[in-house]
Amino acid sequence: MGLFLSHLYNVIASFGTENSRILMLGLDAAGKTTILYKIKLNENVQTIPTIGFNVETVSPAPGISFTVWDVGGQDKIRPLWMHYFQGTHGLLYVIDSSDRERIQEARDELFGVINNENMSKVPFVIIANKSDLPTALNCSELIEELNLHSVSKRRWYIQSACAINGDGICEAMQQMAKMVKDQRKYTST
Amino acid sequence: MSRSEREKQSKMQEKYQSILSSMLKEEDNKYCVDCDAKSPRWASWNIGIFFCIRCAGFHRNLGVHISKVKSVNLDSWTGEQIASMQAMGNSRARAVYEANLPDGFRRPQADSALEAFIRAKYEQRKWIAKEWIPPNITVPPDFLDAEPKEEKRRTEKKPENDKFEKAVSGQIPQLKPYVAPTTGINAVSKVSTPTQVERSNQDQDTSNHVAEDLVKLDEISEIIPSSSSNSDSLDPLHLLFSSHTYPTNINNSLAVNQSDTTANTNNLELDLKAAFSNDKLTTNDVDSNNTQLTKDKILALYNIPQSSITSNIPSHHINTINHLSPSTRMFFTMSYQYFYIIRTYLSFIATVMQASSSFGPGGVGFQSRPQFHQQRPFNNQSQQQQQQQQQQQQHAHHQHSASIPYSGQQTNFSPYPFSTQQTMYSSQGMLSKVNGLTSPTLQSPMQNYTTEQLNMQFRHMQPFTNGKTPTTTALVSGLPTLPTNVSIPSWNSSLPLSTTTLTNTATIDFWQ
Repeated sequence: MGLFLSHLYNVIASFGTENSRILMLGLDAAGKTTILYKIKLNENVQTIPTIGFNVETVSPAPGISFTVWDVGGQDKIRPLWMHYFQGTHGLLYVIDSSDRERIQEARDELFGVINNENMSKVPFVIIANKSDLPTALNCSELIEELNLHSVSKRRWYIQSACAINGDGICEAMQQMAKMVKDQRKYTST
Repeated sequence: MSRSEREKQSKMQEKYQSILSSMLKEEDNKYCVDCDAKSPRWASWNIGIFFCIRCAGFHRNLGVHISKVKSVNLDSWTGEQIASMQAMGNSRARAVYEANLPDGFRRPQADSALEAFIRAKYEQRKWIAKEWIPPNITVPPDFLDAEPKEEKRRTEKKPENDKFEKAVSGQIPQLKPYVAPTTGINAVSKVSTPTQVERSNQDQDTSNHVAEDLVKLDEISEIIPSSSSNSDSLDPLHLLFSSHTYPTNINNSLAVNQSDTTANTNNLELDLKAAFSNDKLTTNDVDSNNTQLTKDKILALYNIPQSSITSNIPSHHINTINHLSPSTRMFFTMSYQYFYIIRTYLSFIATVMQASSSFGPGGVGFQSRPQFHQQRPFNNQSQQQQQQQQQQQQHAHHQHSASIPYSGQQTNFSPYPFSTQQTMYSSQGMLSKVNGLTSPTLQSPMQNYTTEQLNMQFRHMQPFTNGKTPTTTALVSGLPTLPTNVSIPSWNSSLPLSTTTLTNTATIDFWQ
């Protein structure tokens, strides 16, 4: 009975869920666009490098509605990321975990983003994409490489994923939803 | 990051951008390497190719362990990446990755088929040239500084230069200068257009062949230093890079280096002496006049070995010996010597090729491509012509050398006992030996080589030429592994000779 009531509460509460604005960033070729359309369509689409951005409204789980902005990650268009920061509720940071050579670059960009004042209170989820590849780093290695332990007073989460077969994507989105919700509750009170 | 550092970096980025945009102006780089779409703006820097944005998507699917995709305009590049791009480019990449692509293969245009094609090409490497050895990319140190282009060009060559020098000195140091003639005939790239013309003349009009060769020997000694600006080594690989990647600089460097040619010819001459004199006669000609370089010098070369044969008699006794011996006999001895040198030189080339195929900045180690066995008709023709020609000349030589008596009026210290005219003839005779038409009195180890085979072997050293430019670059080939009785037709339509004379379309189709 209690289980049923809590479930009912969740369903009712989900109607009141506002549409959250999620920003998806990451180095080029990390798999941002692929993940976006995997969530949206549950399909593997053939992508081309994103010049500019893609935006889709997705509901990865019942009661969750995200407007996900997927911005191109080429080096010279990364300065444009900052224009998407304002009003963002959550950051999805996608990393190609098989690209060991560019982990440091990814870390620098990540810290550049989360240290921006507009992003100072935004929770972030790191998606360690392409974890199916043999050279992929696992989550604990990535935490070391990305120096995530230095991030304090911040909610973060790292999820190993593979956009092609969909592993870890839903988990990451659910975690995102949870963190966004908590953050809202925290800021409203 | 300080302000000056930032400025420096942006300067470097500008430089890289200008290099990339100049690369994109090359004919093969104007089209996507995979789907032939126009004006590609994306690149895989580890493979070294340019492609369109659609193929960039497929390449990103391959994963970074196969292809590292970057945008030409939207990404910032590093010196290493630029060097890698310069070492390859679309034309070479096609030669490598599509070496065994069936004739008449149509590039797929549909998405799925194109992705399958790209995966087969780079992931499974279905059509890759089996003998291809990935080049060692050495990042020129000056790519890390903001320097003018001229500077870069030099450093681009440097590492390779060192290696080559090492190989040379490590193996057969004395024969180093003798690289010059052969590179002149076959492997030297486009740096000077006059020789280019001459070379094509040489094959088309073989009646002038032998006489011209001597002249060419002179010219090479000037051309080589001008193309490899700072180096003393006569490395054909320099030309590969310098000419290929910096086409705009060539005129510049030519102009600059014209002034250096005399100094370099001097070096060359000394090297030649050192090579053949076994250090006995080097000091004699150190201060000889540079301008009247070749004929006399070449003569000297013929004499000196003989002196070593005749129990190492000091140089000022040469005249006596020459005087005593009949000129015909002398000729044969000399030609045998000369021939021995040529043979040693060829084996040296082979070893160098072997050594250099394992390194080489663009040094795409490349070997024969046995699937192309057609022979170009004009080569056969030219061979016949050459044979006839050389027979005639040889004949003429025998008469001549018998009829012209030796005038022993030189001073004691002059190592040039022959008259100029005689030099011409004797060297013609030698050259005909080299070309496989040995006179019956000589025990020639080179009888297996026909002119065509030799030519072909060296022409084969130009597999990666850019289709646009008629001027070509030399490449390392797997000479040692090549059986000499297999003729290797060149399979590149852009060779300087073939652009004018080639009618056999088999090789042209390959590039379409």
